[in-house]
Amino acid sequence: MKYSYIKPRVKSLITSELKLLFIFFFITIIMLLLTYLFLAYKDYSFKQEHIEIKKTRHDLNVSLHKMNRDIKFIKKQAVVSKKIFTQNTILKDSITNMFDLVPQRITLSEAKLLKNGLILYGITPNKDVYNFMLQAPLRSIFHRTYSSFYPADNGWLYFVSKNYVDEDENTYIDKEE
Amino acid sequence: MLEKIGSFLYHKVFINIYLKNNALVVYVEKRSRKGIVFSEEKIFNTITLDDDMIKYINFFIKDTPYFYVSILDSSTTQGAAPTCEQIDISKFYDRSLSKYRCFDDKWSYYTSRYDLDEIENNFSDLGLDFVFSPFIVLANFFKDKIETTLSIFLLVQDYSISLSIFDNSQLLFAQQLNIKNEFDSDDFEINEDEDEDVSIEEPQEESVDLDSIDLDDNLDDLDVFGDIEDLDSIEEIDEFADIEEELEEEDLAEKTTSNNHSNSAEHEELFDEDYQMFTAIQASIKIFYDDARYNSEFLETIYIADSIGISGDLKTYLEEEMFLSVYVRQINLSSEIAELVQVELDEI
Repeated sequence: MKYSYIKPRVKSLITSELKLLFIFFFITIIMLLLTYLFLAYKDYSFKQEHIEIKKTRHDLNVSLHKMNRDIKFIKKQAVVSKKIFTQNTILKDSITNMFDLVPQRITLSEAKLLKNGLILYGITPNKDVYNFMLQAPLRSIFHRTYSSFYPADNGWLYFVSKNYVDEDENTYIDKEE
Repeated sequence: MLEKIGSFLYHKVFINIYLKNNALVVYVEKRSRKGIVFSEEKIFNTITLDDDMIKYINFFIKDTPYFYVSILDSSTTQGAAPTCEQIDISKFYDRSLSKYRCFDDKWSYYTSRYDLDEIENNFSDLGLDFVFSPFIVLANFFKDKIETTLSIFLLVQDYSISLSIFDNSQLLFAQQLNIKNEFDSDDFEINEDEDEDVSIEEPQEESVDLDSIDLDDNLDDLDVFGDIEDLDSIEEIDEFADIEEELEEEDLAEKTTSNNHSNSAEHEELFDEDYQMFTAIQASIKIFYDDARYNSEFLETIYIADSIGISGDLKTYLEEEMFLSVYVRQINLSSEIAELVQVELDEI
């Protein structure tokens, strides 16, 4: 300011058009940045969600596997249960049948059910009663029957009857059936 | 650094505004690093900033940030003082009410703070970068003469004369003479306030019309002339008084004999303006001689920077009545202000 009464205004290289352009670019960059941040956040969020879903899926798979195993075990248990129930029913029927075989004049003191046989302990008035009334039906059931007697104090006879079924013949019979 | 890059990319545009013929002249100059690439001058028939002018200026400044709007101060309360010392300045003007600047630490020029604020306010829509005093224009224009002579230097504009007296670069006296205001101030104020789109011819129409003067009356009967405090001093010069009478007689003769002449009215108006200028200059010189504040020297030469195309009458008056050697040099205010702007920019 050498001669003038007032100072000149500061001149800037940036004109109003350039200012507008810079503002436009600035806003665009801000918008792009915000979009980038938004997408980055969404990407991060998606990845986190993906990890969580994977973990959940893994947990579910583990749970499913466990459940399948449990189902299998339960099914086996059910089968075993059915088998045991059936066996028990058969056993019950067998015992019922066995006791049905024993006549009233013979008294059993012990009975042993074997896998392939039956051992009976008891007392009989005499051998004939035993032979006709118990041994005869036992022989029709079992392949081999062995009987032994020894006298009791009251004049009756203690007996031990061992009855066996031959596996081979049983199998053969089953096959024939 | 940024400034240098800017100077490669953009032209500098100077917008110089000044008052002429009661209209604003807008001078546009584009400068590159190599020099002036474009210049144009347009006159707007208004004394305030209007939309057309803003539109016109914006057309040139829209492409560059390096534009400078300058205005030549035309306020009435401006002047210059032969000192730059703060103690002495108060002898010539009130520093608290004025904005002033020193020139080479030898003399100072000033203007009213109120007027400066008003100018800045009037151009607030456009903004101003420089406000120049006409005394600075004068000092730069006659730089070669000012440094070597003791002379009167005038810058003649419409309705105003910036008068200064230099003695080898040292200002002895300066005064801003407002011709129109002294004689027709009310009309000028009305023009400013009520009619902004005054045509260029209007001031001439409103100047003192010799047809309407009752020639039987003495000049003292005219109020406008009666207001001139230094009129008596004019009468002190006997020779001039005689010539004045002759002029009046010539006027009478012209009035009575050549009413049908088409150029008579215009000639009278020119005569009137030159006469007003002459009386104002003479009164001012009288102040210089009489006022004890100034170191009066005997003056023999007057240099006139003419921006309006003055007639030969003024020169004749000065030569014949004041015995001065008169030199008239045409001045283009537009380019002079542009040079000042360039000097200012070189300073930055």
